[in-house]
Formats: sequence, structure tokens, C-alpha cells
Amino acid sequence: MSAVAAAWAALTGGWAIPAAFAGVVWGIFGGALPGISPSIAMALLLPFTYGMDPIPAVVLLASVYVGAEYGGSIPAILIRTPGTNSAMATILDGYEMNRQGKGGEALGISLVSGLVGGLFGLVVLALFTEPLARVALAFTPPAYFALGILGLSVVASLSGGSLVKGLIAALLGLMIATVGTDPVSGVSRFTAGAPELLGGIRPILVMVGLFAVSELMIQVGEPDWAKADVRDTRLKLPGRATWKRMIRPHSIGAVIGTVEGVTPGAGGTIAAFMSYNEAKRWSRHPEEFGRGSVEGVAAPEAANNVVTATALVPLLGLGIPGSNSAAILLGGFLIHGMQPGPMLFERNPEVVYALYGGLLVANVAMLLVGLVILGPCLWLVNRPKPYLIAFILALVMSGIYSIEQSFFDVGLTLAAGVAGYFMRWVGLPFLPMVLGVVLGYLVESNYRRSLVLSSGDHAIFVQDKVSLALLLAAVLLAGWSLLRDLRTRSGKARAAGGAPS
Amino acid sequence: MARELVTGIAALALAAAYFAAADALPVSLLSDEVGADGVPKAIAVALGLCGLMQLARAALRRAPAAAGDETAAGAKPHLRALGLLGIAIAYVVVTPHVGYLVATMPASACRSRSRRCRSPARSCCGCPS
Repeated sequence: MSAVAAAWAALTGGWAIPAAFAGVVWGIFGGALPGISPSIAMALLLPFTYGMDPIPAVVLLASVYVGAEYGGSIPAILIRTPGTNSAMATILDGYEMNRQGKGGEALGISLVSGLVGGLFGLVVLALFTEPLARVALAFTPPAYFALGILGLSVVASLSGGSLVKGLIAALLGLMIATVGTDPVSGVSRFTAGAPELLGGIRPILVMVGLFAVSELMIQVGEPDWAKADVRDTRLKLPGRATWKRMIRPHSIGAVIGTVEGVTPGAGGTIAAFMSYNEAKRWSRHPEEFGRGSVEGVAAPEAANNVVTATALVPLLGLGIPGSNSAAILLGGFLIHGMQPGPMLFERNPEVVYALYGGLLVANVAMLLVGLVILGPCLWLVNRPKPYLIAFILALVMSGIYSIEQSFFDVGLTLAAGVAGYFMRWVGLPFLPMVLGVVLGYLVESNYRRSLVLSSGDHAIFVQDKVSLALLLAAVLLAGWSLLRDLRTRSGKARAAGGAPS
Repeated sequence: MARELVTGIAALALAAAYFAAADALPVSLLSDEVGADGVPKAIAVALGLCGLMQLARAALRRAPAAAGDETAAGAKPHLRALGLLGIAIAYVVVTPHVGYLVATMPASACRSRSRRCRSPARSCCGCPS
């Protein structure tokens, strides 16, 4: 109870509530800008959380995620351009409603559906992660090694269709994690004589470079997006009859968002499209889908926001980020010396409870802010893209420099950006690399500590019960992901074979 | 197919360089059984194997018919990305000497103007011209 009291005190007495509001505002702006995904909006703020207390910092980042999912629906509905990937499903009926002069109504449906989804997801998050706190004390070095392996085993499901490419990305991440002082012998590795590298390469530099800098490099080569017509666009909250129609799609979005959120690699986009399809299948008016259906907007928007909370289940419970946004939030924890996973509940339970409270505030803030922010959002979307890119680049550089007043860090971030650009070009996924960077030290140090404890006997990893269970889970997860990958491939091959040439 | 090939070759080259660097690490008296170079060498071997698998995949896959068109159409965005990178690098080099404010404003202005300018002479700023 003391942790809950401490969380309550931190939430109400400090900067957590203003941080939740600020995060939602930033998230909505970021989400509304096509090309700025929730993870990029979060990555841009990540360096600025260095100087903050841990609770407002993680609440700020999580709130950006919540806000961005609603923000993404604004250009999707008004200019047929999704602000975020998961808002693509919203275009189908949202833009159609806008064409029929019901854009404000569609935005209102998106906003309240997001609120319902976010609150449901929060309940699921609290229920799912709480039991994991109880096993925290059973964790030994072999168990931590096995936990790292479990984290790496999700690479198969994060590889985006090519397991080899996913493995290459993960190995690159592990390589980055080996830079710096060796955890056991103290030998400096791969530092090229640079003293700045003795402490290793901070994950935040890799994340900001990969997600933000490489995106700017991509965006600078792409044409400007369409501009929104700001006349007569006013948000309209749904009435009683519309609420009645939204119960079924909200329920579908809640269930699918929960399943997809806790599954590493699935995420909001898949949840949104699946919810849309299921809502159509179970609807009393399936003929309205694609022609401006209320349910067609409500289902994906509810699912999106369920995922903002449920995607945190593997992160908080096991320390495994299942999505890009969760990886950035993990960076926020690491900045403040906290390692998400079972020990987080043991060492910093007040942060976890405050995060739950912060997410609750963020969802309510999304409703309040969403009612008034439409005008400024449309103004921002209508600015020339080059100005926005210039502003974001200056923000990235200033943010990274402000961490340690180090131009070396800025250079490393740019190098990560170039690597990210190359990775996008050849189709290497980012998330396995981030996993490698984040889990590399955990895996190597605990592997070697375990072998020191067992005098070099590898049997220690199967003698420890928690380690054995986690390793088995890793094997099962990797096997299941591979099977799913093979099924998808054979399905695609059959479809290609059946299609006319 | 070219991208698959590039990925495979890059992975193999990186694995070889990384293995050599790991092999050159000094041995410490405090070292354990695995050693400071043990895990990096394992990573290098795994990366090399993945590189070989990627090369095999690239060799087995048939070349798409319109591969040449993609290269021609794709040059401009890369140049613009390079321009943005150039501005960022110049910013890092110049800022310690002239200060934050003085460096940030011209860098931002250069970036925001570069998409609007028409003169080919300004293409160093990532201008599409």
C-alpha cells in the first residue's frame, strides 16, 4: 500500500499530471503530422526527460503514445492521409464521413472511442502485469540471462517477413551493446580509443537516430502531404443513438486490441484492421462499411488505444518491448536507471502505479484537449513541410546535446540515423536491433556471471527453475513465430500462384 | 535483388571486421572462462552465417524485371537525404566554434529554404531543384 500512496503523492503533488497533459498535446500534434509516428513523437521528447524526475518522465512518454493515436486520425479523416500507421483503417469510413459533411462527427467518434479503448486497456494492463510482480524475488543471474533470451526470441515475430533480416538486425544491436567496458574483466572493447565510449553507447542515441533522424532523411525526399480544408470542421461529440451503435465495435476493438497489444510485433495497425473487419462481420449494417459507417471508425480507433496500454504488458512485466513505442518508453526507464521487468515491481513499484495513474489522466486529458486542439492541429498540418523538418532536426540536435553537453553524442545519433536510413533501404527492421542494444548487456553479463557461479557448467541454466521455464517459453515463442511466418509465406505463395500473371 | 545482395555482403564484411577486432582484444588477468572476446566472436560468427544465408537467398531469387527503373527514380531522394545529413554534420562541426544560437538559425533556415529554392547551385542543401 505504501507504494500506491507514494505513487498517489507523486502523481498529485509533482509534475506528473501536467506531464500527462503536455504529453497528450505533443502526441496529438505529432500524430497529426503524417510521417511522425507515435514512436518518433516519443523519441523526440526522450532526450528532454533526462533532467526530469522518473515518474513525470515515464508518464510524459506514455501520454505521448496515447495522444498520438488520436492525433493520427485527424489527417486520416480530413485529408485521407494517416498521421500514424494504425490510423490507416480509420480512413476507410472516416474520410467517407468527411466527404458527406460529417468530418466533425467522425473526429468525435474517434476521440470517444479512443477514450473507451484507452481506459479498457489500462484495466487490462493493471490486471496482467500485477501477478508478475510476485515472481520478482525468484530471479537469479541464470534467470535474467534466460529473460534476455526470451526477449531476443521475439525477434522472429518482429522481423516483418524475413527472419534472416530480423536476426541480422538483432545481431547488429548486440554488437552495439558490446561497445564499452567489459562487464566482467574490465577490458575496454571496440572504443577506438574514445573515452566517451568507455561507458558504452547509450540506447537513447541509437533510438533517436534510428527512428527520428532516419525518418527526417526519408521525409526530406518525399513530396508534401495534402492540405486540410479548415472551413466548417468542428468536432462533434456523438449523441445517444451513436453511442448505442458503438457498443459492439468498441467491444470488438477491446478484445482484439488486448490480444494484439500483448503479442510482440503485432501492434496497433494489425489490431485496427482486424477490428475493422470483425466489426463489419458482426455488424447489423455491414453494407454501410466503406460508405461512412460509424462502426467503421469506432472499432479501429478503440482498438488503437487499447494497444497503447496493453503493449506495455510485456514491457513492464518482462522488460520486453513488443513495439517501437514500447521500446522508446523502455529508453525512458533506462535513462533513469530503471530496468523494466519483474524487478521493477520490487525496486520501483511507485513508478509502475504512478504510470497507471498517469495513463488514466492522459486518457481523460485526451478527451479534454481533443475538444479544443483541432484548430491548432490543422494549422500545423497546413504548414510547409520543410519548415517542420527544420524545426524537428533542430529539436533532435538540441535534445541530444542537452543530455551531456556532448557533440560526440550528436555525432553518434547522426551515425545511427545513417544506419537507420540504410536499414530502411535494404529492409532491415528496427525493433530487433533495439532489442539487441537494450538486452545485450543483460544477456552477456548474466550469462558470464552465471558461469562464474557454476565454475563454467552450463547446466546451471536448466537447473534454475525460473531460468528453465523462461528458456522453454523462449523456444515455444520462437517456434510459434516461425510457424506463423511459414504459414503466412505459404499462404502468400498460394495466392501468388493462383493469381493471373 | 540488389538490396538483398548488398545486405548479405555488408553483413559478411561487418562480421569479418568485427571478428578481427574482437580477436585483437587484450586478455585481462581478471578474465573469466568466456573472456572479453567470447561473446563478440559468437556474434560475429552468427552474423557471418546470416550474411551467407542472405547471399544465398539473393542468388536464388529471380531478378525483378523493373529493377533498373527503381535505381533511376530513387537517386533524388537519396541526394536530398544526403543534403540533410550534410547540414547536420556542418552544424555539429560549426556549433562549438560559433555557439548554439548562431549555428542553429542558419542551419534551420538552410533546411527550410532548401526545398523551395530553384537554383541547382543550392543543391548542396538537399534542394530538389
